[in-house]
Amino acid sequence: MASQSKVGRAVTVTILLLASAGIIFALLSFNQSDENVSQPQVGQAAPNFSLTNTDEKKMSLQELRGKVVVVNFWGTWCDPCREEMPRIQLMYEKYKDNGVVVVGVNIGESRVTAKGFADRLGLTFPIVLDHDRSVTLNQYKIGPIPTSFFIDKQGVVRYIYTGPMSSGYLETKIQTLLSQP
Amino acid sequence: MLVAAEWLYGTAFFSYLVTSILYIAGVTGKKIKIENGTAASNKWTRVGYWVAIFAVAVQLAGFLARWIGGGHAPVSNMFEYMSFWAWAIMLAFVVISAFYHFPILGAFAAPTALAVLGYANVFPDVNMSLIPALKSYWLYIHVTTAALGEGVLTIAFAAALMHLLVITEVNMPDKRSKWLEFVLFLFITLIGFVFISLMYKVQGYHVSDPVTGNVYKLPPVIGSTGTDVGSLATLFGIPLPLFNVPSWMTWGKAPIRLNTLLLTFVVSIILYLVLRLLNRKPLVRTVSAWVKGLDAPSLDELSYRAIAIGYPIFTLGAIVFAMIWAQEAWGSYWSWDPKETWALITWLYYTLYLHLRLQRGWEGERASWLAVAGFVVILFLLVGVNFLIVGLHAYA
Amino acid sequence: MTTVVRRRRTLTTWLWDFFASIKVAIVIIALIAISAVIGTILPQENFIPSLNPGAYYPQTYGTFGEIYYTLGFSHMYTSWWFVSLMLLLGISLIICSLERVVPLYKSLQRQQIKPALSVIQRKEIYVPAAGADETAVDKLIEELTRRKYKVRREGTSFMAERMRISRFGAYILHIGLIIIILGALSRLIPGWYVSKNIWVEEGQTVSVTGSEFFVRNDDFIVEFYDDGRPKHFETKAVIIDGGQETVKQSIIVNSPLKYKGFMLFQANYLPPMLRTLDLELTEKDSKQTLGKFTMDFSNMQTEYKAGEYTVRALDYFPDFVFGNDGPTTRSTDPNNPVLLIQVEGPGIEKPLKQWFFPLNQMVLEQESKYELVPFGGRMVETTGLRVQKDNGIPIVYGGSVVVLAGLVLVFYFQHKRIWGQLHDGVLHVGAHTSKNWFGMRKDMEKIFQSVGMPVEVSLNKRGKK
Repeated sequence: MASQSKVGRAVTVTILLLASAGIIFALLSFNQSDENVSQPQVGQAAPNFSLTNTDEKKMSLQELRGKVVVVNFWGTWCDPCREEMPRIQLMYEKYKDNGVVVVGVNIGESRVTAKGFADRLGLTFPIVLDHDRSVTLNQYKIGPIPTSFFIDKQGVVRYIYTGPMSSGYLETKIQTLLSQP
Repeated sequence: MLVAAEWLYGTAFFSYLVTSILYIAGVTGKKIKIENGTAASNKWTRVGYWVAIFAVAVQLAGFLARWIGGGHAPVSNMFEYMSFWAWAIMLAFVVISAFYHFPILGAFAAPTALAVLGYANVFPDVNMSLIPALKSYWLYIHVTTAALGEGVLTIAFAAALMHLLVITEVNMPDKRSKWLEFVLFLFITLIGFVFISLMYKVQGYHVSDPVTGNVYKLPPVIGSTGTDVGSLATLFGIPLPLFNVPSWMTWGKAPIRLNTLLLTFVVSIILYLVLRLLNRKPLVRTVSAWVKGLDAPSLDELSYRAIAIGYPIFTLGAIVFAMIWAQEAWGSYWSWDPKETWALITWLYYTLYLHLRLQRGWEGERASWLAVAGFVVILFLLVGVNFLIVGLHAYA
Repeated sequence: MTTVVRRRRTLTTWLWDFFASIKVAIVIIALIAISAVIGTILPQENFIPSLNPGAYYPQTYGTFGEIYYTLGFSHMYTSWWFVSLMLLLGISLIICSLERVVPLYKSLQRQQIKPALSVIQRKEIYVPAAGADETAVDKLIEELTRRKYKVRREGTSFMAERMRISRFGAYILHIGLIIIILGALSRLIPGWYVSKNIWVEEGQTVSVTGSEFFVRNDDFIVEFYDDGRPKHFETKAVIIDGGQETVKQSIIVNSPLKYKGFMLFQANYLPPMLRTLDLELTEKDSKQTLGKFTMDFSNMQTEYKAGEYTVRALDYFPDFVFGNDGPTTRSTDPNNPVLLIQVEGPGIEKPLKQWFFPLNQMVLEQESKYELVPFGGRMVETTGLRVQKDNGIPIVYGGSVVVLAGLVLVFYFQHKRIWGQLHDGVLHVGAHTSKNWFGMRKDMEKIFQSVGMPVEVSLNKRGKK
């Protein structure tokens, strides 16, 4: 038992444990910096993005601060997205003068396709094109679509909904967010 | 060449059967003298040993013929792999018997190898051309080395089982003899599965479920959710399926697997009860009579030696070569694929065995139980993972 | 150790003793094994066909799946506590080894050449050879040396030793395992590890993730067996580094392209897809060509110039299908592209909307006087390459070699020691081995045989084990 000095043992144990703690810490931060970050959660600030809309104008989430924003991720190939669009359009028309903006984020399609779709369905809210899908996949981690984020006037995500929304759902959420400062 | 291979494999299968019969006849025929803890060989076991050597040689020839005929090493589907494992068990038995004189070992090792070879034949034995990921020499090296290690570890199981049979007072209906009886029952389960699978395979039985598209190779007693009861087939005039799986068990081939498990269980129980009735006493008493009087410490030592030989081979084949192959084929030496993970679990298991034995003095009974359970772990690694867990590993 | 001392143990001594315990090591190994088993019950997150595991597990496996996901079992092997277990195992390996290897080394260094005679007589193998003299000792030593024993001599006493290193096999094995763990952890060093899938269309040049070079896909080849299973995938790849084509190589499964520590593996592919079409704008009646242009289906423009005319794309369905509520697309891939266009230009006062079917020439009565006629184009296949860089691989392989060396030393070699002392014409020889007493006995018999002193060697009771 006396073959190694007490000090040597103490130093060895301490170094090993500290190294392990360091490795665990490095691993955790590694996983975080990796693409493993999850979808923005309710209560977190909505990640900002800047994309061009169907009229080739730049548009960023930042500049809509102070309004209630509904960010809707969709694609023309997705039937449920198509199904909910008229209801979103209706709510947009009803509340746009009260400070509500709907931003449709088209996932990876061409301007022609997105614009053609919007024209056919008579959509008037801004539609931006996430051509390389980086906002959809890296920033917002969208799984199934449609997925909608309700963002309050402070730019904080308040509700997330996956699947086609009913008019009632849209309206109550919009009203709730409008009633808050 | 492939025809020759088929014929050679068939001969090997038959030789396994003959070896098993000869050995069991040898030990049950009361002709073996057990003196001073060692058993002398008799006519039966001597012939059995030569047939075992013949079986190993014939199957090796079949292996090579299939290699030449098929253009790639025949270790790339379940039939080929399981056959190879059986061969490895037989080879390990032949080699170890040359050094340790335990003719009775054959009465345990040969039937185990036979059951494994029977299990191999449940799978289609077609010579499949390879998908790209399997075209690698590292794969052959990995798979054959791993099988050799597993073969030696299987001998450790046989020796440990013999050791337990020697030291357990089987006439006492206590926990130990019940557990040993259970081990024998598990062995019968393996035989039962092979038996029904082969029986229906020979008939070319298959029923497809129009709702899910699942194909049953055994009578569908359990149907998928949504399949009407009694709509698929009949068995002895009883319309099948009798009932459906619980609704949460819907993924993949879960209903088929549950069905196979259930049928195996039922057939095994019947098989066991028949044997039990014929025997008129617990099977363990009969089997332990074969080995009574053998030197228990030598068997314990033999079991340990087999693990000491098999463990490094297993490490090399199932872990190190597997890592190299995965690196070459998938670009990552370790990806926690279920098969890979189970190889690690098996390795950790035998690591525990060695530490408990060498550092904590777990010798004799406890070590033998560990070695017997180790065989179950290997079985799970080779059979259970494919059967129960859906993975990315090469063999479907 | 008395209780008084134990009570005074500092935290670090306590920790040392904790990690030096074999019991603790066994518990850690068992915990790792059990966790690994749990992790295989359901597929891990990286193997599921969904980006949203939180939804996938409950949907596919019901309540059990939800619990499994909530407890973090779905990413078992990267969870902080599984990695912690691995690290605890590493610490235990180091401390257990240090605790035992130092005393072992010292005791083997301190061995006496000439222990008391009674010590030899109590060895498991003990042979008293009568009628021996100093020449017998000489001959025996010579024979032992020939058999690769290291012999130390002191007068008429000697001690011979072989394969002492096998006693250290277990520790060598442990060192190998520690090296492997370090090699696996080296992925945490920034820049040491890259693993990413990239898609490269034929003809395209794509930046290789994490590197400063690019890869170009000159051609992608896929072959199938008759039953539809894949037979062969091949990407004819070119590495472009600093503007130079540095490597040209085919990448096939199991044979990656290696360049500057990176490996590019054939991992995936996409079936052929329409990429560009060369189109002619013609007047239907006169068959007169009005202009030509190329349409890129991966980058659809709103308008194309064809001579003096403009072809305006009003709507585009890459994968056209006629749905319940009108025309729609099934996907974003141009599998069945259909466009709504209108032609504007000299002499056209009121442009008419018309459908354009580039692949299927649908017969559709359209009022327009113009049509688009394809006269060329390009289909492309896309290869999926896995970019892999892992500087830790040599470390892991090196560690594996050390592990295997340790295993061979532990299990296939043995440490043998033989002592001899001449007392009054009797040569007392004792032997000890770390395992395989049977072999040692045979060895002794052979050794005596070859020096002309045949003896029968039997084991004392202790050596029978």
